[in-house]
Amino acid sequence: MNKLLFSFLLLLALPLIVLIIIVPMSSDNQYIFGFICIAIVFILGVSKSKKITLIMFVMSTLMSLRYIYWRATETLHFNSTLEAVLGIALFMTELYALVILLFGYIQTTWSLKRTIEPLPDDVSLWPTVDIYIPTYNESMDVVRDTVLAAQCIDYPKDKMKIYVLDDGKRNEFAVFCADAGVGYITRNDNKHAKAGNLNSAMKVTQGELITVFDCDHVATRAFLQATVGSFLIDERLALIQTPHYFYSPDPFERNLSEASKVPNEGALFYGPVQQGNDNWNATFFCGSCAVIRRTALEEVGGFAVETVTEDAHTALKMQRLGWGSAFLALPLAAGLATERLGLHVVQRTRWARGMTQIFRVDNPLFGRGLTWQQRLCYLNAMLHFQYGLPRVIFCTAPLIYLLFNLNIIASSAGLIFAYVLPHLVMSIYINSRATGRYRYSFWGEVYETVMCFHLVIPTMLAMISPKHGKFNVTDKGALLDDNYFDFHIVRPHIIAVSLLLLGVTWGVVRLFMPEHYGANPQVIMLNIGWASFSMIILLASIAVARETRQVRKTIRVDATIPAVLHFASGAAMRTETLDLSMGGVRLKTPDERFLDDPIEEVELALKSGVVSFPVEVIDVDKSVTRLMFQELPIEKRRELVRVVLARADAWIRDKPHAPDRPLRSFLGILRCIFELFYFSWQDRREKKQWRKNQPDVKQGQEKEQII
Amino acid sequence: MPLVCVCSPKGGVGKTTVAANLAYALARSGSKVLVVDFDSQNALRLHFGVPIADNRGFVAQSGTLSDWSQFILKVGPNLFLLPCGEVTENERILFEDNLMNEPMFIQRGLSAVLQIPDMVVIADMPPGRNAALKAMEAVADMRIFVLLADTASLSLLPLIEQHKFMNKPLNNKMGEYYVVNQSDMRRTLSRDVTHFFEQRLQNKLLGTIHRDECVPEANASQRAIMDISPVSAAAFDLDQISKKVAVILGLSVGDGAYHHTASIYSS
Amino acid sequence: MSKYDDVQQFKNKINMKDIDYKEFPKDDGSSALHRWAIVEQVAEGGNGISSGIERSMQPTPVSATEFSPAPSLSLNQPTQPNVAPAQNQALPRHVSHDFKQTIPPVSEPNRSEQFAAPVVSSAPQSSQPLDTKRFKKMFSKKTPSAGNTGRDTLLKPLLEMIASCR
Repeated sequence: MNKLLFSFLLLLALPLIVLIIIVPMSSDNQYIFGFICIAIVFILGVSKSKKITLIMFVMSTLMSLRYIYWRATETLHFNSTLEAVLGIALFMTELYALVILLFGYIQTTWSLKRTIEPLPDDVSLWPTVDIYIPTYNESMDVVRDTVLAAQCIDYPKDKMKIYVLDDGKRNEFAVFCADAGVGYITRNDNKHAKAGNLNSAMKVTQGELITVFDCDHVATRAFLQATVGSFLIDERLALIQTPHYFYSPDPFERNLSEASKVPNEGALFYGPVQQGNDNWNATFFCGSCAVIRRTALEEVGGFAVETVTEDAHTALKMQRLGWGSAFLALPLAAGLATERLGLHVVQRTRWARGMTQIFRVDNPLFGRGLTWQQRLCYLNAMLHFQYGLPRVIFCTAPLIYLLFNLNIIASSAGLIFAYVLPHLVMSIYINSRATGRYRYSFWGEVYETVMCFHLVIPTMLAMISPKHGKFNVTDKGALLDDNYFDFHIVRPHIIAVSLLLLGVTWGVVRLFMPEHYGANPQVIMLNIGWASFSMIILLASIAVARETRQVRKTIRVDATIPAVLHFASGAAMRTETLDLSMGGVRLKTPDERFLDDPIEEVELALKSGVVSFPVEVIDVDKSVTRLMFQELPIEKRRELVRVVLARADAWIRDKPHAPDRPLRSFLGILRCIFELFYFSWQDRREKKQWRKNQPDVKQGQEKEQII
Repeated sequence: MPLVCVCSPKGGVGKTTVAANLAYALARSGSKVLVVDFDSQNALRLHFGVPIADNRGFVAQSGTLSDWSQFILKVGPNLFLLPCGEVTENERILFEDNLMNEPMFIQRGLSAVLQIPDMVVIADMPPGRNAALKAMEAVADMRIFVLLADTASLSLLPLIEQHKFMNKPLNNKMGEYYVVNQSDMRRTLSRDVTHFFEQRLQNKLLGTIHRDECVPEANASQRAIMDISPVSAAAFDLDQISKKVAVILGLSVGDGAYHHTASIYSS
Repeated sequence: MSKYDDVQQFKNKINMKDIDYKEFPKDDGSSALHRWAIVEQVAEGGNGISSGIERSMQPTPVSATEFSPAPSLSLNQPTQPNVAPAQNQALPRHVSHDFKQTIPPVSEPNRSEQFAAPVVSSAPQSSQPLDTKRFKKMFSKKTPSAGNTGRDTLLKPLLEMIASCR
């Protein structure tokens, strides 16, 4: 629409907008108004058009602003200082939530769906690339496949150099790098951890572009050809970031059966959020799976060392100098998710601290070089990481009335409900519509609640004293050999649930005995409702702490690849794989030959090459054949990596997730809670039986572990 | 109508097996197929269940008989076989002489069959250079060279490519193609040679056939590989090759006429 | 499908079917070429005489005097391996004359543009005195064993005969 026309219409609409936000209504009128708006939104929801989504954003914004305005003007009257403090804290929390909501709408409305820029036909024009794989104490098993996958990247051999940057200075790695034919770099000290490691490597390498892969991030063969083209098209591009895709389940997916059916935790960030950032040239570097221009890095003095999220800070510095950044929403590499909830919490705490540190140390709102849109994007990111305290407050606020009988909202319950209802319903519905394929309703609450108690102090500390605190590297690759429940990590959650339960019980008591305890039933019911919702989310968060035993050392990847089984008799049978891992393969059993003819090798056929691997049979039946790969020499292992992990389409979904259905999603969360209790009970029974059968079971398990 | 000539500069590469199974596959997908044995070894018939003792064939009387089709055996609903038959040395020499000197010798002998428009004729040739191959130059629509995935075969590739094996390339028709047989991906040399053939021959390579014990087993049973081990790698490879051949020859595949080869001896 | 084409699948899934993706196979065959002599030669067009593993082991045309009977000295002198391009050289007359009479004509030598018969490595000095008589016997007209090289010749004496030439 014509800008002038648009501004004119906006001006015209302004009084109407202001009216909608400000006009106070009686409880009944507000209900009616609310219901009408909700109805309009539902009716509009039939159309899938983007324009309608935009209209809905506007409607939801107005409704939420109306709510906040009412809260600010009508409900902040308190009877005591304590109530005032708590009441204002709650109000600030709601204000925070509103800001995040609005930022979210803006990001989703203007998001950049970037595509691949092809490279020129003349290969001599392609830039030189250095690939850095920094490592410190991770095991060789993990790093080895990353190196081999990098070698499978389709790029001219003379223009791509791979280096392992070993801060652990381990001989085993030096030997491996020589065998594989990649570079090996060490330095004299270990200052500034990963950032320092990368900086020291920059001094001894010359590639025009630098690619960083975390030691567990295996690249697909298309990685460079999908990303490098952009650097030739745009001379001021400093960074292109790709998603951190996990091929192993994160703690949520592992410990909650429902979570493996919904889009995972990273999908929202590595989708709409970064694409929103990209639109304003505010994509930030995430530490891995990205390509950076060397000259840009040199201009900012290398990778930033002042904060624990050196990646985001580096991007910020480059943007200040006018460099651009880009985000390509294609999973071109895959890594291992944090193994356990405990590790997940450590990792996210570091991110929150780091982003807060940047806020203090190099505030993007001030200082030169950034556009106001970039500043807002960074502000959004930083605000997001402050969710700890607000989330805690949201969870526990009902206790204030239920346990302590303090009134922190000066209004009747009916009126509160009348205002809150459209605000909540519309924001849930519209978010579901806009980003439902990347995050299902209420799961965001679960992800945040899991972390919230742990974030409060570290973020506050980082805000007050940013230079404080060390960098803890997230552990990758360790095997969990038994089921256990991580009580420690969810202790605050358990305490909160207990208190809420107490509060609800007490509230119910008061409800049924008003003569004794003289309480407003509507207020009690509202608080009980709120407290119940908090309990559900808290219980779902607690359910994540039920760590299941990790049976397999290697991760299975689903793939259907044509295969030939070679039998001892010399016969060869055609079939296809069901799934593959670096330890073994599962295939459809072609016929009954297996009954008396052992399988010796399996041949896997990619168009880029057919390779045969010696195998040992784990288990065969009429439908499924399970084979284990034997120890492979490095050349063969590289071929296996090529088939299992480095296929260009390995991580690309052919269709997006089913759209979100808020009610269905909520039921899913309830299911997690049910499973928490049911499976914990089952686990306990199984453990007793397992202890009885211990000697026989172990041997079978060992083989299981390898594939 | 189309005549496919299966040949090789070398012996023992699996030419007869390829010819036989190609015939089975094309018949299975609905075409009418006649497979003719020009090799005095007389081995082709064994792939179709003909007993060793049965030595009927057309070559012995090919000089005197103008129509060879009376020796054709029906081995399946769509599938026909013209065995070479047992020949004396003199008969063989006479046959060669005719091939060399009689201009339309093959066309005349097979005229009854060649007239049938949708009948595919597959000719199994003797290895190396020989009179039959020379005579085929004028008749064949498509030539398939069978090679093994080893250096003995590979070393003869330049000969074929430079048309020194056969004097002139197939001018109009469908062209010359290759099949690489007994490729074993477990063995370095076999893998390297196969890979080399693939890169060198590109679209001219109809396919490579796995080294697969099911092949000799099927031959020993006198059956098609697809009948004995339908899921074997070699069966699949041959099937793929036959599909390509069908496309090249312009056959309409899969008109539903016939899907499974039965043995001619129903016992 | 007979082989999994991951690049094509990639292009399909991201809806960029006509993007020009270049493949850089790790083993583009060059290492295979260097491994096997025959593969390398076929790759280079099969005409290169310089290809092949070791030049010093390459066969060269036999010298004119290689098989001459009486002046056995010439036979036992170390022959220089010459790397001259192959041309089927006519044997010196006196030798060929003997050959023609005693041994039935061999079928025409295979007319390959490449190398001639392997050169016999220089005979060791020690065998010098023995040979004269043996050779004379071998090349005399009436030797029965030399007369027929048909299928009726016993294998063992024939082999011994050949061996004694060296």
